[in-house]
Amino acid sequence: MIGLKEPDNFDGEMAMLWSSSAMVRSAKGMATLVALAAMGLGAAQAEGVDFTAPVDPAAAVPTYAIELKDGELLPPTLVVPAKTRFRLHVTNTGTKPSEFESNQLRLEEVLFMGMEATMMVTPLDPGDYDYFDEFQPGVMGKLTAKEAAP
Amino acid sequence: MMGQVIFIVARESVEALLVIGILWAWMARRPDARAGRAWLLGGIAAGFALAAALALMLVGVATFLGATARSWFEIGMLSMAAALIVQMVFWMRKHGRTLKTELEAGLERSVAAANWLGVFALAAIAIGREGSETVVFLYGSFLQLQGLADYSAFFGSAAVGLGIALMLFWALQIGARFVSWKWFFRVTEWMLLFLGSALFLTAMGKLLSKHLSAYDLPGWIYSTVWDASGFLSDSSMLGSLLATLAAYRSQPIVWDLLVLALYWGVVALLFRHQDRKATRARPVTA
Repeated sequence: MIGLKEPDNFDGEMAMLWSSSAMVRSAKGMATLVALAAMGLGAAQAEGVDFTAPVDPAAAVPTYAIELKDGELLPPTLVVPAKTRFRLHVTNTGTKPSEFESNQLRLEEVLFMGMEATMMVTPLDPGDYDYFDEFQPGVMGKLTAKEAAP
Repeated sequence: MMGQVIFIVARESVEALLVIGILWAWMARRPDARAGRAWLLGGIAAGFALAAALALMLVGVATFLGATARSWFEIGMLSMAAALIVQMVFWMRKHGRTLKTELEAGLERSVAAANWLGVFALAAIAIGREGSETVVFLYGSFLQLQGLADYSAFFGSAAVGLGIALMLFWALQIGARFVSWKWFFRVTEWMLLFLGSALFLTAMGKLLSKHLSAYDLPGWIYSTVWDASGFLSDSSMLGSLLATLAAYRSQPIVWDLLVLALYWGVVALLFRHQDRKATRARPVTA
């Protein structure tokens, strides 16, 4: 009988062990979930950081500034939210005339020295789009449109 | 810097010289070539005046128009150039068949007068539009020059750039002489029609981003249909030349494709109508 009891106890113990291990596991699971969620948030925040800051953050339609300076594009890369319209404010701060151009964004604007122009860009699908100064060939700027984190 | 002057001048003159070179070669085939060339030369002169006026506006010396009016003006110029190109091709196609009899009958004269005006306007727009950008570029670069060596290199480069573009003009004239007229016309007709599509697409692109951007159009209008920028980007040298001359886009949106479908649809309808009329007319004249 004692011999029979042992397995019972044993079973009981095993059950206890199992349940506790399950608890441990579920706790681990929770921790993993929490960690994942935290990572997810972190990634989302990192993505948020990646977006280029608009000139006026409060505006309903964001505006991003680009400077053309004798062949230099400042900044050479822009990251903007996809599927929403925005403006580009382009200034020629160089000593030569420039032509801001992008076939992919349907933009073209001749800018004499010291001149500036604001252009509306229609909503973009996620992807990369080039912009450049047609009068200074060879230097290519890249505008990336990506979905904002939900 | 001088290499850049050569490149920009050549690139900006290609479009205008393509149009003018083809028109010039076509004129040569007509019995009233002298009148046609006079109108074309007049258009070229008017084009330089237009380029200068537009350049003054771009430089900010003169403000004839506000920003909105200026962009409407640009859209108008581009669309009109596209329409004139289609009309010109339409006219020349008709001529291939009926020119002689109509001229003899004196029916052609009044039609011709209207078309010469078209030749004049097309040449003027072709030179005026791209020319204004070249003028701004050259004027701005000119202001940077210091010393005689600079000046001679600058003018030398500008001349070389123009010379390169003029080679296209000469190639077209030589082509017209040595290739059979039928083939020359067929090829140049397509070149002009493609150029017309490029002008119309640029015009409608400006319409979308400058004048329709305030309205909430359905989202699918803006969605990218395909992305071939890995294959041939329209920012590359060849890609952007194809964009200017043939409406190539490496990342077209639905709007672009609708615009091109509209353009080619109208062209196809017009030409089919023309062909039908011609086949109907033939048994009568025969």
